Amino acid sequence: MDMNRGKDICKELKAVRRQIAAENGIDLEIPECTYHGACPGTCPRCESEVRFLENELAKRIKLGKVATVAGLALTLSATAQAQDVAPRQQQAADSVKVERKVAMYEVKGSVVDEKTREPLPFVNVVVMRDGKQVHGATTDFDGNFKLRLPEGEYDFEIVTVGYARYIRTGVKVPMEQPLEVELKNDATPIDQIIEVGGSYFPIIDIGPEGGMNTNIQGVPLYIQY
Amino acid sequence: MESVPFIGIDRHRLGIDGVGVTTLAAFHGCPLRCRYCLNRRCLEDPEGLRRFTPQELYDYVGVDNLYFIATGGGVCFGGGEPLLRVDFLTEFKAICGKGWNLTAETSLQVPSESVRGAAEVVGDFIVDIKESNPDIYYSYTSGDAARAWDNLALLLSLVGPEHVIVRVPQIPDYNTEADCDRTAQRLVSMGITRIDRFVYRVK
Repeated sequence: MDMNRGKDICKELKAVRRQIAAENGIDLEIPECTYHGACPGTCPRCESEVRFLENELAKRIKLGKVATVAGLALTLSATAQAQDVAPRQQQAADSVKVERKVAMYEVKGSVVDEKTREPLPFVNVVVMRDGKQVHGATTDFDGNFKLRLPEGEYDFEIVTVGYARYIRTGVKVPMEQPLEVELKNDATPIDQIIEVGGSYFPIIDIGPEGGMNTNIQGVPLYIQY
Repeated sequence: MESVPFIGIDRHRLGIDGVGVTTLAAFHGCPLRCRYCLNRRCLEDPEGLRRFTPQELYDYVGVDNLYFIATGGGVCFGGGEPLLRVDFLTEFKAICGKGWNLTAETSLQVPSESVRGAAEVVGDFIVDIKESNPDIYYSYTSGDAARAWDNLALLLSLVGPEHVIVRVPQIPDYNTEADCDRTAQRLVSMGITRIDRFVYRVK
């Protein structure tokens, strides 16, 4: 695995652990990682922190306290729903149903060609927050898109072949008006990586016999084991 | 249930297989023979592959239970063709319960009964539809396009477009951008709202 990608994964998972600890009043110190070698995204220390959190949550459940976990890490989750907290070591009888609901707001928009005003279908809408992709959508045949986001401020990137990348920063949700986007025509070589709502328009390098590693910004597509 | 072979288990996938943190569990076995298959191990002799029963797999991947719950993630089944193992998926869902979201990456080259069974337990589907032109589809995969497309229509009727992402690859020597446009248009006309397009560059 690409070293930077592993570090990014570690950082995301660390943030989830911090949120769980903070939300449940668990005293867990998570120092910044100083390891500089290749990283798969986790390590024995990271794994021990997860086991510690599970044990602490199990103790709270046994004492009759509420354990809040579901939907905490919203930058990695599109929706939050009522969930059972069932740490792996627990029997079903020990689990406690908890609820965590967050208001979601509908975000609508449309994408047209700047000159012709024609709606543009299959355009990809990438939603970013703090530099990380949190959601995405694709315009329909009429050039419209719709998705749901928690309250907050987001950056929107609109990308499609043949048009210049469009970026709108600081979009506040809930929005007062739909997001109306006009794309400028710009012949873009097909062999460029283009972000597509939720995933990528990647160049996938296939060897002559197939089965080669692919690299979507460092993410392998076939299983490594 | 007997154990089944897996070609690999991949943890800590972020936003790749849908929402949240997911673990990809790739089954051995596939009905297609795609020219540029990314996971050829699924077509080879399963001798030596790790095997799991549904309970064993749950115990193995459950190490990330906390992440699954916190982020709305879970397990993505791929391969290979996961819908050839609907019994496994059904038993797995009964074990993991509603706390984990299950996703399936599928070509839909399976009996329609398998699609119906999977729709009962899988939350989201990532469909690798390949192509809408049956000749191109057969040339690339050695499979029947009509079966995949009929199953896609069935799947839509069972789960709705919000739970289906369709991948459309542009494959050099097999299809063109115009072919992919036609495929995408057909998908939109069916009611598909989430389309991911890929470009293969063959070295």
